[in-house]
Amino acid sequence: MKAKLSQYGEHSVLLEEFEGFPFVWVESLEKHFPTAKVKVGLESLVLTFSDHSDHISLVEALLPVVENTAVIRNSKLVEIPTEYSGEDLELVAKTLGLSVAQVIAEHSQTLWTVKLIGFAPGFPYLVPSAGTTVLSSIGRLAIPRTKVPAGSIGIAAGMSCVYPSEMPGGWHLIGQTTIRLFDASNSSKPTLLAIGDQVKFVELSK
Amino acid sequence: MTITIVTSGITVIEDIGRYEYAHLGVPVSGAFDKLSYALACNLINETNTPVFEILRGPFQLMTDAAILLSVVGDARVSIDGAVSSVNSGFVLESNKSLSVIPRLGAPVYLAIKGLLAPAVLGSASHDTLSNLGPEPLKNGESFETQELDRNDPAIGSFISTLPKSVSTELRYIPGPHSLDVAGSWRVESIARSGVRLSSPQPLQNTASALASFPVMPGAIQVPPSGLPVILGPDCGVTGGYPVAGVVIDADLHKLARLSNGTSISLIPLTKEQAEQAASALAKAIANAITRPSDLGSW
Repeated sequence: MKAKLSQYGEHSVLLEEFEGFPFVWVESLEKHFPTAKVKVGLESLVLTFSDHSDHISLVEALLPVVENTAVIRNSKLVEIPTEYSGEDLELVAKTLGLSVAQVIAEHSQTLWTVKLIGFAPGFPYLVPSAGTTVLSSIGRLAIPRTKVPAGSIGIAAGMSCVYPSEMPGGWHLIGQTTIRLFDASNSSKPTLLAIGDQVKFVELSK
Repeated sequence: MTITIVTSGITVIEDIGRYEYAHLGVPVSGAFDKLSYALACNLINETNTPVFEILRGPFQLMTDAAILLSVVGDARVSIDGAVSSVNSGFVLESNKSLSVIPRLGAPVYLAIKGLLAPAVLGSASHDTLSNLGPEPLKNGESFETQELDRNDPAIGSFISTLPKSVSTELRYIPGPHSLDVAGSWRVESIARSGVRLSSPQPLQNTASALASFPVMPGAIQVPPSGLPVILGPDCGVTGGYPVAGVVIDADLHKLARLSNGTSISLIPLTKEQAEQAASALAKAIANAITRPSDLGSW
């Protein structure tokens, strides 16, 4: 692995400018740095150690042997039944010069990959598993909503998401699911999705 | 063994936090002032136990059986109206009421030996941002505790040397992004999710949003406004604003002790200096408490 390294607080190293999705490096990083916690970003990784040794030199020395596992063990395909009735669906179609049906087709025919779970408990950042989506020119809302209902499906910046619970949010809302993504009472498996999983949105017949 | 909250004030249950679920987007949370928290736990001879974090008083509880407890922080404490002491581990006898009124804005920690609080994802901490863990306390709510051991060596412990802490000086490791936040800032607002700073001279040339990357309590985020936000224990696990530095572990507790409108200094430090500060604080915590058994040979 080749990456740009930066000191990040007294215990962490930030890795940037490497090839591939960040999560494909996690397994090998965990193997080579057994004392570190590996955290994933959209285009970055963070290694957090508990001691105060010279982490940058340590990471630099071992990085060449860190391998891209490419495939995530135990990753699964999750189908999310979706009602395409989001508040911003028509706005999105109009902005893209497409029909609502074309937007739905694009979103539901894309195979998505969970690139990151962040922002809030169980909140998945989904990117197309291959290539890009014509939806990618849709950005975030200029003024975020103060309340987005749980189960809302959004798009922004070439990504899609599902809101696991009610929270503020700035993604364009195109659909809704009744599937529960986060369950705090299940401590062994609180989230439906894990980083590296594949997601397919399946349109519910009206 | 039941304690009843007579007056809750603004009080949440906290422990050391949730460290095992960051990869699922779950914030760390946990006690805001981890120094006072550690001392409150040590006074009753516990580690990582759930405690009451009293953010605003008046707070009052009643107990139906004798309990061992400690109060740490700047507060007026009384038992059935008679003034009592902070910074010690003592027995509250049955059918007595304890009142705690924090003097400043800083949280005060009330630790009770054997307090039972429901854990969510491995921690009893209330997370204000994600709304995980036990709800904030309500008047009339009750909790079960363990039976008092009259021979508990922690009874009568007290803080003999409070670890030195200059709360207006926050030391940090610069980076990963190149933004110079060193110097004087005004505290605009304080919350468990973060502390907002202001200045007549905001930082210039701040970058726009970045691809979300892992952040942590103590990270000094710089939004496009150029006015930094120092993330607190309830911060999200990822963020999209540049991070100018991270407050060192030894100073994280100070975030909870700041007051609105006061001036603070951000002081850049090397990693070696941070390590020295961390071991100095650990030593100070270890030496802070005197137990009655320590005095026996006098």
